Amino acid sequence: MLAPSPEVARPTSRRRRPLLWFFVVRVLTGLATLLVVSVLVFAATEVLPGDAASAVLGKSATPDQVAKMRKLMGLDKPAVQRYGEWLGGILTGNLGDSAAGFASGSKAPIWPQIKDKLANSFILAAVVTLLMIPFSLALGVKAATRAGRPVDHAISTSSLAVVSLPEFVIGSLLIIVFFTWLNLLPPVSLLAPGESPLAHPRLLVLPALTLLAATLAGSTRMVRAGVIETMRSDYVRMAELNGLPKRRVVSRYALRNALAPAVQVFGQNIQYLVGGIIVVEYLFSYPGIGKELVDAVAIRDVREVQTIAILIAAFCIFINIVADFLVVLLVPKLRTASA
Amino acid sequence: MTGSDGQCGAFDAGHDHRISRKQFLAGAAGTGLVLGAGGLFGSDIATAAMETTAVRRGGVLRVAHAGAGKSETFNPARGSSFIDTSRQYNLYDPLVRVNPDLTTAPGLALRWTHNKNSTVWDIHLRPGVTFHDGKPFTADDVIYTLRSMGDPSHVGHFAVVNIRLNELKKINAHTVRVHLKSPDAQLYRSFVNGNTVVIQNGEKNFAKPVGTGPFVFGSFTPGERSHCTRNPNYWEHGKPYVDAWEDWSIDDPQARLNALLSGQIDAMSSLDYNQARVHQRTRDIQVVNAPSPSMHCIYMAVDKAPFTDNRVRQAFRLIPDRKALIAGAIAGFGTVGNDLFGKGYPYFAEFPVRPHDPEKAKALLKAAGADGLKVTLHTSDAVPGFVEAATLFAQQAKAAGVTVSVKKESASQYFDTSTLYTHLDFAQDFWAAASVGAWYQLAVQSHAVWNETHWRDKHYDAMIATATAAPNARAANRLWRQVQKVQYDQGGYIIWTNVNIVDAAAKYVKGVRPSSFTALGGWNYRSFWLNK
Repeated sequence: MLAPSPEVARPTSRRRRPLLWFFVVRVLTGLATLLVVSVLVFAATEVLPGDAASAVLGKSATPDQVAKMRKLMGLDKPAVQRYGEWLGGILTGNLGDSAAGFASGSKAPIWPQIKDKLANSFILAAVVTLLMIPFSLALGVKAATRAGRPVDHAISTSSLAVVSLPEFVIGSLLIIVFFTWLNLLPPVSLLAPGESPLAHPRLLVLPALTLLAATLAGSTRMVRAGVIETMRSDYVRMAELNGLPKRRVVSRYALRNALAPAVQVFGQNIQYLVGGIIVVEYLFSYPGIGKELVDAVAIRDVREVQTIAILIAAFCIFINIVADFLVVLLVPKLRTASA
Repeated sequence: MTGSDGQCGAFDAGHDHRISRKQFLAGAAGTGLVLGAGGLFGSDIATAAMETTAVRRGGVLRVAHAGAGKSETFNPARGSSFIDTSRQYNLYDPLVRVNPDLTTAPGLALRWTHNKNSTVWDIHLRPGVTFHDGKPFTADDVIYTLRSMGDPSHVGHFAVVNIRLNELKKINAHTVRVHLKSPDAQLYRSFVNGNTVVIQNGEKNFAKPVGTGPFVFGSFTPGERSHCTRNPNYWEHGKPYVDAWEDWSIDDPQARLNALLSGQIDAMSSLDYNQARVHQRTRDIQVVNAPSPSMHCIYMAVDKAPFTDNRVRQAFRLIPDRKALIAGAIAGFGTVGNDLFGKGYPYFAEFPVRPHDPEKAKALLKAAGADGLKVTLHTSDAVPGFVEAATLFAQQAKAAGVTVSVKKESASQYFDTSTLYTHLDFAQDFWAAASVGAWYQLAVQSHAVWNETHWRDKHYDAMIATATAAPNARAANRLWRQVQKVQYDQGGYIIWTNVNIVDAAAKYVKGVRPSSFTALGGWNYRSFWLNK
């Protein structure tokens, strides 16, 4: 696929609708990135040792049976052809069949198997995001406006401590506190197949808190840095010298410009959530896409691994575009600069 | 029979086993059913409390296991993980059951009779049993099951390799005649596994599996959960006690334990050994602990240098301080092994445990011209305790002048026969098998599928065949002793421990009796009841 590069387009349209043009370019480069990712994902899964045929048949299978199963799964075709079929399938909405289905002698399309898991992971990530943004803004601004004072030290030091802990440590500590000591919350988040976590909000608390702790710390620090930097800028000084109340200065002038780097951090954090969620889902046995991915890797279900990987990549790229777009909307200077 | 009788009586005294005890005696009388001494572990097992309170019915029994993800299945031909086995034993029934003390009891087969040289067997089936769909259980189902096992990719295939599957004959509705290729006096011992349970005539896709077992299929999502309901027509009168049973797939051992501690599940298999020690002290849950014939071993391929020399193999068997390995690698949940498989099973040979003797090992290695030896021990965290045992072994080997470097292999490939498994010269394994004979068929015969020590000897194969054919317990004892003597003197196995089976259940779960055969009292959910 050839993505038209910005240079090819006529400059007039750029000038007329800079925002739209920016958006189009970002989407097209996003798609190009996705294409590159698809090649990388495919290549990476190709070099995984072992294949689905021998994995699902077990250790007593004869070479003959493995060969038959390989043929049934289409693993005997050349790599380029398989890549083409996979990509074509994704573009036409046909994600293919999972290896587990072949093992039981029937067909098991991938989409119905992963859609509930995607929804569960999305719900968890959304809960974390919805909490992370207001909390990190509040804490970050608080620390920034009290820079150098005890409140700032408390927030900065504790966020530094938390950000340096891996998720499984945070999660285990939360389990010890909220289950072993206080016996308030369930230490595992078991859901019956097909059940939504929204029906059991208690099960979401500890996984969400773990992810929140891991992401909140980083974003709070970034918001703090951003606000402090803006507070030092000339226009804020000017506003302060003009006698505007501090609260007004922060909310009306500083925050909006400080938000630009923060939005980028939020974007990064959401992308990070997709990775962190795999660890947290395992820790709490939460039935999300992370466990699905681990299970698929275990039986070398290459097609499903590739599909999940590309969906995650697409999500990350999407979040990136949204974040970039928001930044441009927030900072007028960037909008006019592109024209 | 003698020797096992008193032991059996002791175990079957509980009210819920009276029926099987009676049937067992009826079955054993006048047949060739041979039962070996099961008393080796007897005292440990017998300490499990006998339930005397009235059974309380109802409730949902929720059990968690390390899962097998997407490859979990109710198809006995495929499933070989813990959770699959748990499901096989509770949706279906085996022909023969194994008691907690490793003696046998009738399952779907009441009696096994054979001709003089045990080449023709009649399996007399339990009458009046129905499948979950209402169809009666007959000889046709058993014939279909045995034939399905003829497929070499069936996990339970080895049970029928000696059977002439084309000559299976239905004598009447409840009798099947089986012709063997070579004599086997313990044929019934091959039909005790989860993979050898009886399926219904014509069953192919297992999308909605039908069995004769204590629970009826409800729903199933591989890698997550299965839900089955009580079979009201189960042949074992009054059982099961709970209304429904669920098997949950929770891979992480800590999450599994947390689920139990928080009351989200009622029982679990494979409790971490160190956690087991903790909870034996705190007594907040039942630690279900049974010694078993399952073993941890280090194996040497006898066709690869330096292990071609028996003096080297003997020296290596003197290297491990077995007690220290048990304490260090499996938190003490094991008994010292004597380099032979099957402690507790009939015909197991009680040869003395080799001592930790680095000086003698050194002398043997010197005599073999192998002093200052350097070897690589392949390990993996595929089985808990492997890496710890390998590391300890390497340290202990220093005293004998052997440099052992430990190489950790990928867990997913460790048991893959197309890459690592059976291709390594010096590595670790974990074994469980249904009898001494079964293990020799699987591991030591020339063409055994998992012949990891590369032991290939036509003469030895003949010895195994002769022992298998032994017409009575006395001869069998003598012949199996000879077979085991060869392994004890020259084999490639360092079997350093017979490892315990350690599971857990909430305190309100009653009827859980530790079994030396397999996990959670032999996956015996039909006897569990909830006192809450």
